[in-house]
Amino acid sequence: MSTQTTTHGNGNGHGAAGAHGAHADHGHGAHELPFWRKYIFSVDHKVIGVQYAVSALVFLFFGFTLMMLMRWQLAYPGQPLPFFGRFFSDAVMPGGVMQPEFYNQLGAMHGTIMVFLGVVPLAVGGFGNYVMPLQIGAPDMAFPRLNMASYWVFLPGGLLMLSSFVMPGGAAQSGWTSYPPLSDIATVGQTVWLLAMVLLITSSLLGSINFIVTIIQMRAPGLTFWRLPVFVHAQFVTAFLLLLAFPPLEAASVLQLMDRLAHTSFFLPSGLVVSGELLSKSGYAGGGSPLLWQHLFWFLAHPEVYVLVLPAMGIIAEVIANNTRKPIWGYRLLVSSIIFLGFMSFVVWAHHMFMTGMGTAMSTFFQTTTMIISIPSVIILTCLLMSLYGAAIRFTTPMLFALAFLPMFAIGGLTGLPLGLTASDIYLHDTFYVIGHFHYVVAPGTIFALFAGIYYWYPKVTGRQMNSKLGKVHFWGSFVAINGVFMPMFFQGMAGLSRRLYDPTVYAHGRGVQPLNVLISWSAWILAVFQLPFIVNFFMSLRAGAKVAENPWRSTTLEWFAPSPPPHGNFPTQPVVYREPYEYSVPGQTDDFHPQSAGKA
Amino acid sequence: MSRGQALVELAVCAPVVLLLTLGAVASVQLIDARAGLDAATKAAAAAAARAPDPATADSSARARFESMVAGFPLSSTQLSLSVGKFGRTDASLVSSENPLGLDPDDPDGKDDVVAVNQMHVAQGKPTVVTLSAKDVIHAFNIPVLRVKQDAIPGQSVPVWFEATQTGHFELACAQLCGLGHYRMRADVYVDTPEGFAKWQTDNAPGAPEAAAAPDAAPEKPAANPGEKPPGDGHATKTAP
Repeated sequence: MSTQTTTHGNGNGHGAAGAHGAHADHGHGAHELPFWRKYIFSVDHKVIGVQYAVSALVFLFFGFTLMMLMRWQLAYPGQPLPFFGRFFSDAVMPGGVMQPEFYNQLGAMHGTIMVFLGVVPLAVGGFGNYVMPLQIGAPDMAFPRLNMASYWVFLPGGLLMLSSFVMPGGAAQSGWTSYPPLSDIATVGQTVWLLAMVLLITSSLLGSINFIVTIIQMRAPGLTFWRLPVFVHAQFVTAFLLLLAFPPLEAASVLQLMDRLAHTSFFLPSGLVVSGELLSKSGYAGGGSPLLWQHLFWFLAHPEVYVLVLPAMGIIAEVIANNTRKPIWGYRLLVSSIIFLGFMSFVVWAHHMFMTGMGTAMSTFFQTTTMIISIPSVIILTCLLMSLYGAAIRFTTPMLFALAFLPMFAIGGLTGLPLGLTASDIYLHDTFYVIGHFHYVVAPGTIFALFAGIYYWYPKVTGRQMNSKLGKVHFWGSFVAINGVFMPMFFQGMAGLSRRLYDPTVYAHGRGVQPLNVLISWSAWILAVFQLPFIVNFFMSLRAGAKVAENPWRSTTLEWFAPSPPPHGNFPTQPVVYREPYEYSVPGQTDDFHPQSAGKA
Repeated sequence: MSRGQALVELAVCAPVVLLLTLGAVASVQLIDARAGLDAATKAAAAAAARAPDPATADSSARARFESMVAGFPLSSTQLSLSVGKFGRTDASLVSSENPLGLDPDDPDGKDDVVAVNQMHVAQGKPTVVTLSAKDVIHAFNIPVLRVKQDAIPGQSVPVWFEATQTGHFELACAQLCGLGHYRMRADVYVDTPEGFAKWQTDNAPGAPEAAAAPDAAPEKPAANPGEKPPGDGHATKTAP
């Protein structure tokens, strides 16, 4: 698939052309905009993308801090936290010793923040908003005001979520999954969690519809579907997942809000006894089902996993193609697998619920679909791996992160298979093995990919290159430390240690693997130290980074042919696309890259 | 032209081939699962044949697990062990003396042994545990026996296992259930059938006044629990 495919040369241009006319007026009046219209309530996809990315990075750092606090309690249960302990109130950490309710709050909020406030907004809101319109040669998103609304619904949602820490009784503490009845009878923090989730989901819905319309309608002339970069395909499928999977959780959140505020019983069965009192005495009718929430939640939360990982795969494909100076191996197979993965992600959700007493027929069905969904994942990984074969690889900072993504995602994915099989899941369900598994997918997988994306597109956003020495320190330190964090979790899980335990040493099987907890915690803190080079690099390079031209990586895709940083309206002239996205090292060309927009050779 | 054509055809064929492969894999999986289901059914039937019939009150291997967070911070597991039918329970009867809410007037409940935070089972006998919960979702988890199942309010989920070695093991809650989740643990004692019968006799509610309550008279221990399966350290058979 390395050569030009002439059979797809013309077509699909008409949709794009129509949309451009409608948005051609964006270039006007950009200079008269006051500061707050240009940088705060902006309708420019690039400003919104940067807003998303910066907010998400701050939220990610906050979520990471919560985890570091939890790691102290897990490594040294019941001991006062040195130095930092004094900054917490006596309600949560009297004398620096963490309370179980605070531990549960940290656990629930770490998961929520990392997924809904960190990774999704960075991968979709940040990279998707900034890069996708540039990659398809569009001047902006199809609905710029909707785009702005999406960010300004997201940010209050995020801040509301964080504000729940100062509520009476603290933040939500029923896990990021918020299973009722526990969440129905939890403190007021849970109400705030639900309200914040409603805002965040609304934001995602606004964003996803915008992405879909933009990708369908606003592609540059000649940019057919088989010429789209993998990143755009990934964003396209992701947008559909967001659009179709989030509404059930929005509905479920409202139902749980009703349970909490209006004393309905959607998730409360009859005959509940809470604190020694029959719940029906408090005006609850009963007759609901706790499992309804689990179905609605996981119907969202499993596609959500692919929302986290698909944009990451898209970024990795871009970086790998660029740094191997070769076309992606099996581009169409890769894209087809991404689409198939998107479809399949809707029929696997109940593998999170094998322990709820579902019948063997049901669990066999979901076990089968779960095994099937591993096939496109392996195909995607194989395509990316095969792309390396025979390449003269440039080991740039983004490429290092991309190369690390491959084995890390493979470990995360393959350790998921024993969890998808009903028999082995009986033992492994809700243990640290699960934590290790999904963190390998999301942390050294997706977050490494996002780092790769930041290093890769930073020159486009700022016009300056990030420091590669600091980048390499950041990479190697993070790579070693993050494996120190998550690899031991598999051993703990196989020893039977449950997750969400405030003090694992209560159990004999927990005491046996307690030394690993110390190792994990120190690895996590060392991991935090190795993020400092990144933070320094990120801000320092804004002023001190080497100035670069528009295409420093010698790339082929459209975003590199807009000025760096791109002005309002992106492209001085409408780019026209003549070929597939990864035409590197084409025989007979003087350069080793052949841009998509370069005229016919 | 021909190269592009070939690629298009390949792209069209790939999903078809993929789907056929998946179909084959799925069929094998389903047949396999079906076979597994049959095997499990046979095993359960064999186990049931080996175990004394619960309905004739000759079996001791039937337990009920309920759990609740008694007072919000304190978690406790409550188990009642019954020969024959369980007594009726009612949430409105729950109190600190009667943690399961057993109906005192139900004759079926006279022989139910209620225990808090401990569970005795007989070695070499299939034990059926009926799981439910009174406040929030908990989970019945005995890691060494490789058995785990959620206990969900409003549902009654059976799970069975067969312990092959005597000893003292840990029962843990495996589903976040509140502040006390981390210490919601109980002890599981796998006794010899004789030891189990003795424990049951000693703890039967009517034991001291057995004459006054003839229907709660202790059972004779089951004579022969059947052949002991070969042990391999953690050897048990479990099935949800």
